[in-house]
Amino acid sequence: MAIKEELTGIVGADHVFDDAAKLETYAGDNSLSAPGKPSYIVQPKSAEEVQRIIKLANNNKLPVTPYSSGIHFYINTIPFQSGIILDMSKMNQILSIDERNRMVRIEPGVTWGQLQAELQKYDLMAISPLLPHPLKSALTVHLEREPRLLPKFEYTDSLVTMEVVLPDGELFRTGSACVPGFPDNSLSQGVNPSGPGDFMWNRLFQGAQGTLGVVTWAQCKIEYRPKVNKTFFIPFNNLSDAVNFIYKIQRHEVGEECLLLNNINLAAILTEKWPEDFQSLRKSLAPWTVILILGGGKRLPEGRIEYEEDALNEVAGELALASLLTSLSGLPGIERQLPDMLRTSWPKDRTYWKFSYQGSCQDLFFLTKLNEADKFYQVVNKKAAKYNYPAKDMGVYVQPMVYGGACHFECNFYYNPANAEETNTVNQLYVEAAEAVLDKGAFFSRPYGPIANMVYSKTANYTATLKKLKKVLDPNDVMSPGRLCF
Amino acid sequence: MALSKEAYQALQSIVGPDWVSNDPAICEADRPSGAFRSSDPNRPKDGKSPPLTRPVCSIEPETTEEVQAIVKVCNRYGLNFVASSTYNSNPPGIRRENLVYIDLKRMRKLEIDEDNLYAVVEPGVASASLQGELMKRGLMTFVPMSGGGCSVVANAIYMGEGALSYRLGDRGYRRVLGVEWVTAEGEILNLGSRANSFDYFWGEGPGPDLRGLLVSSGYGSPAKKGVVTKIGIRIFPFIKERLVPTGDAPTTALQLPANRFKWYNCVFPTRKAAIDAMYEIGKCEIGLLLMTVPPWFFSMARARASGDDKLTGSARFWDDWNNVTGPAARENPERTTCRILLYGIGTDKRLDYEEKVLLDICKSYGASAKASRGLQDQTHFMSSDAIVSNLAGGRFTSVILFESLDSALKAADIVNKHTKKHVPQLFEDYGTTNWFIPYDLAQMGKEESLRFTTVENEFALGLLINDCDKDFVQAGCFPMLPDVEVYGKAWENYPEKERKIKQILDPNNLAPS
Amino acid sequence: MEYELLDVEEYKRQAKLCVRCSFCKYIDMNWINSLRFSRQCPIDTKYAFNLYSPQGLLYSAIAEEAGTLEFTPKLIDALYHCTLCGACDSRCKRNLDIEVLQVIETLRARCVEKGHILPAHKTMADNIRKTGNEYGKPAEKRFSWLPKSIKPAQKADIVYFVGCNAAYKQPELAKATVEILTKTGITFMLLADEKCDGNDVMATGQVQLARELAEHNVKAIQKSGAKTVITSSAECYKSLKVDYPKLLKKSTEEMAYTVLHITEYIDQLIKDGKLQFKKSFPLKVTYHDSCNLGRLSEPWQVWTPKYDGPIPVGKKWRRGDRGIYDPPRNILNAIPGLELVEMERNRSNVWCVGSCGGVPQAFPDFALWTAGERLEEAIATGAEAIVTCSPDEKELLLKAVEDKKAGMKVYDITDIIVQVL
Repeated sequence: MAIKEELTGIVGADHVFDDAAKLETYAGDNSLSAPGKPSYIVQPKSAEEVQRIIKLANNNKLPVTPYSSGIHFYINTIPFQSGIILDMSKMNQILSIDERNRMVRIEPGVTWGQLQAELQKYDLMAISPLLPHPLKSALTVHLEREPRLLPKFEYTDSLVTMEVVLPDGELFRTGSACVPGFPDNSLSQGVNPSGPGDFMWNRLFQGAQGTLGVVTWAQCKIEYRPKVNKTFFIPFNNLSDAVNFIYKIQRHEVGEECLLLNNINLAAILTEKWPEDFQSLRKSLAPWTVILILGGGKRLPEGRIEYEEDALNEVAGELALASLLTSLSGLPGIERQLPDMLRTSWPKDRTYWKFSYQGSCQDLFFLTKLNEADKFYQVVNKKAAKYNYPAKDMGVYVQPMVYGGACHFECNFYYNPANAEETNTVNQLYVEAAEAVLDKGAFFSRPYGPIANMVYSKTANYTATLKKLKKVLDPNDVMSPGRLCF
Repeated sequence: MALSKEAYQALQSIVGPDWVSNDPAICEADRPSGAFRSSDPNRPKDGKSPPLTRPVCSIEPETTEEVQAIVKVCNRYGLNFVASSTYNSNPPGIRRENLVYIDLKRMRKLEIDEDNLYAVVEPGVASASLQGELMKRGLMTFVPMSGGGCSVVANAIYMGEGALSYRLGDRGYRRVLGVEWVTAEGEILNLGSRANSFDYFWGEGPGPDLRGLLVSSGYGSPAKKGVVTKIGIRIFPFIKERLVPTGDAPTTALQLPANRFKWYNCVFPTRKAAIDAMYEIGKCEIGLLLMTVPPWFFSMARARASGDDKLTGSARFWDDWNNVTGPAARENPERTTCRILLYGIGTDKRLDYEEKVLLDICKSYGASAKASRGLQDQTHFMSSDAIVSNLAGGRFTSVILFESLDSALKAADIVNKHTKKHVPQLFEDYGTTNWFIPYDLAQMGKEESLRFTTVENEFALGLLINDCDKDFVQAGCFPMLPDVEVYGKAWENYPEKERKIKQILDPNNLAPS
Repeated sequence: MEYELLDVEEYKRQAKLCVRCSFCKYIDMNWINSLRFSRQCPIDTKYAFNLYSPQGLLYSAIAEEAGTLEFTPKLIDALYHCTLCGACDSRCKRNLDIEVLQVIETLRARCVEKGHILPAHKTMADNIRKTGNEYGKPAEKRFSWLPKSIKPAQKADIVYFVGCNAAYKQPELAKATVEILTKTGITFMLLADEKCDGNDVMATGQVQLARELAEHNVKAIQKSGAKTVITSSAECYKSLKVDYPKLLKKSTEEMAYTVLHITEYIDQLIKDGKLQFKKSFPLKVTYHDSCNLGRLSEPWQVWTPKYDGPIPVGKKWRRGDRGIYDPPRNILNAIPGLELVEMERNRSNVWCVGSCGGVPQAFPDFALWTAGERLEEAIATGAEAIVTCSPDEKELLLKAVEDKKAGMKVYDITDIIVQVL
């Protein structure tokens, strides 16, 4: 039987596509990478269908590329070796909300906005990344270990248990979800990520970019959503001073969302009328702004804000900070809007903030320590200068993690995708800047595209072990071949 | 197969003659302890104590390169090996024949990055030693309740849980960062940021997180997978004030500053009410640590109080249990005390806030809440009163489950049901020594059923666990160390999957299984 | 059945209680302030093999008793490197109340019973048998240090027990002591027939000779009519107060005399308002708690093992917390101009200097290393001098100072007291 027929037999004719127009929409993404050439788009609706598709792929040595979000930026859904694109968007159920244990179980097609809207009904929220695209898969945020806006240690390791279709088509559940009868007929509630057995399986699948299996649901941590908030904007002239403040305030374990943006990025996020308001806003904003949101607890919320504000004032006094702003000039009410804004995805009815400025954006991000952020900023600036890319046009986002123990450092190279020369320049800048920061000790824990090649060439034994692991789990090499180091 | 002369000479050439020995006395000192935990896969299942075999030699490397060379020699000559550092409990595989015992005690380096909240630690550094260094810097680490003498490395990659898990991560896997690991094959595998630099500050990646192959959190010791020689470990902000040590054996404690800490005992009418309240406390994110306190613990605490002419030690324990605390527990076994340490980090106004919230919660759940007069700690910051559980008779073990608090509550009933069958070999506790600790702000929890007996009757502990296993697997419980024969097939047939992956790391099958 | 020192069933029971928690290797956890000074067992710190640790020795005891292990050279080496400082015993009794030290002492006694005596320890014993002191010096010279200006009484309620080291090696300590006694108005006598207290003999498992010395010295004290024995040697103090009753199967309170360390005596004078130091001694010092005066000096209690289930019936515990810790400190704090700073490991958490257990005789390098560790700790306090209450410790610390070329002074407390009276 022809492949398409077999696929149709699994998912139904309405969920298999091989026409050129449709294939093209899945072939590329919003990165600078060249598109791939998928052969089929398949939209399963259940784990059982996923299993059958994977088994079919194995029988026919067909590559499979999982695809959940409706939009992608990091090359991880481009099919390098053709084959099937497994579009998981039809598996879009929030399977359960466990208020008591503060867990939510979601399928891959659940978007961030969808998830947060549902959780808000229970005064709960998942910990957000920075304004994800409305089509962004919530499960992918967890699976790809995207940085979150709340640097509390307690909220880390947010992906707890999962169900995975392994590359051989077998269904596997991790952690305490592995017990028979889960979730309806067992005492286990799927909250323990360890095991089964000697491994922490859920860690192996995270950051794998679809190369080690297809996640069909994941149980993730959720937290109380503060109803009472107070937003602070703390301006700084230079990155080092901002970092110093972050170190101190995080040491007091104060605040909910805490993030550092340069004026470009903050203006891009806050501008409503493009392009006129953007230019004036970027000029009026300080070069760097730390956004710190104090959130009231579940009980006596004002009490918590009160003592946290006290601590904040103490830190401000120690550092002789000029101002702790609770509003931004020209943006009335932004301090009240921002908490809700940051706790969901970008609105569907507005151009995505990363596209508003120039049309597109190439992100260079890695992990480092806060006191190295300025070093890397200078390294990237130097590379940008080489390519005549104006530093003042580059977005920077620094996300403190685990009480200031590390940070996600991100440079956003805005560019006009319709301008081939600009696109090419940014592509070269991106690659060279990545090499330069890697050389200086940047840690790419999430290596995408060309960066993966750079990273894995420097991690001999890690790479070798990954390859051995891949061979065990995916002997026919069907899952996203050519990605990472595979 | 005994240790051949060639193999011994090869080992000598690595560390020098002073640091390797096959002397019977040296090897005897490295044999397994008679005490066992439910975490020990070689626990007695047939009512008999297992044989206590002796390693064929002990070797003491000082560097990672030496460890690697030793493991390669073991591979070459087909020698089993096991690594240990502070030996707080028997590592799996310690009872195998032809065993080379790799003692990592000489590896004691420590570096602290105060700004970036991590330390780089070798296996010979004990948790309390690290804590001592950190507290004077306004920082803290997790110290396990099994004792401050536990190796930081071993505890973090194997278990790493206790009442501080409420805040500091349910188990060690939450805190392990970059890793330097000598696999069972003798390769050096660096994980996390250590993979492409000498920095240990981050643990994930690059890409898929291979810490998943190493850090087991109670489901199998990392001793099974080679030798970990260095890790980055997450450390945490703490208060500036010093915790002042007081007292002398047997009653020592740390004095907690009153503007930063407050102990509360909250007595709930039922166990369920206590669990409900703990969920709420977690959701309100107050407190540094939180747990229920089995009545037995009060007798333990009194047993450690010094006194000139009063009873002390185990005599005091039994006097208190038999005459005071035990009868009260028997009369009302449902009544449950929770103990919480409120925490004013960042600002001492936080302490006031936490207290108000706690009292509000207690009112909601029908608890009487009382602040402790004493502001001391013996258990959590340095774990100085660990192992005191053995005081009662000499041996104890725990049936442990890590899952939700609700799951833990129900599983406790199963353990208590089976315990009754093994009394009087096990001490009668009226079903009150189930101990509940919420982890990760009550997003997970632990139930630990402490069971006590004497050295002579320790076989009864293994029989109890066997009994519980059969009900656990039926009910869908998730105990700490599942017997592979009982759980393997039911749980996704994981042993088969594991076996294939373990081959990657241990092709000659020399690490313990 | 009885072994020397401990009933065999009790011996086995105590050793088997070990659960390998490693508390015996560290100072009390709550008192740990640094990685550098967190350990307390000298052999465990230096030698790494687990045999060289209290745990290892307890396991060896079990195996040796069961007949599965002999006294191999390595076992003897590990067993006799132990200084018997009692740190492990004290720390274990934080939580488990295992009689660690009694097991190790008994293991040594068994070792000797089976014919294994280290040559240096045999020499020491032979010297004592011949000359009454462990150095083999003439017995008649035992009191030749006595200054002409000091005249001990022929009969008094108090006898000053000198000890071999002060008598023969550091006579200035004996002189200082008698001067202190005289200036504070004490009528005292010397024990005409004083022999070696036997501390090192007892410690090395030579129980028979230790018992002979105990019987001899106790008889001499009784014959003298003295009711109180004062000594300024921590080792002699422990022998008189703990080892002699143990050997003679009595409790301390049943002995016919009371023993006081010189510091207890001086401290009491200060408390009673009968002594005030007139001269100043401007120096920053740190005080080293001698194991024999501290951890090991609690009164001995005779107890016949009897259990009600797991509970020892009628046992009174000795955990090391009630040793002589405060009197020396009170004295130093009462001296004008003197500033006392504490080392991290002090009181019952003290790190042994290495001068006891027969270690300096058999393993002088290890003893020197152990003393050197203590010296490093003293230097870390910023003190100019270290003060101790034991001639043996002073002697070893002085060697360590020379070995490390450190600028640290070493005093016995009597050196200072005599200068400020």
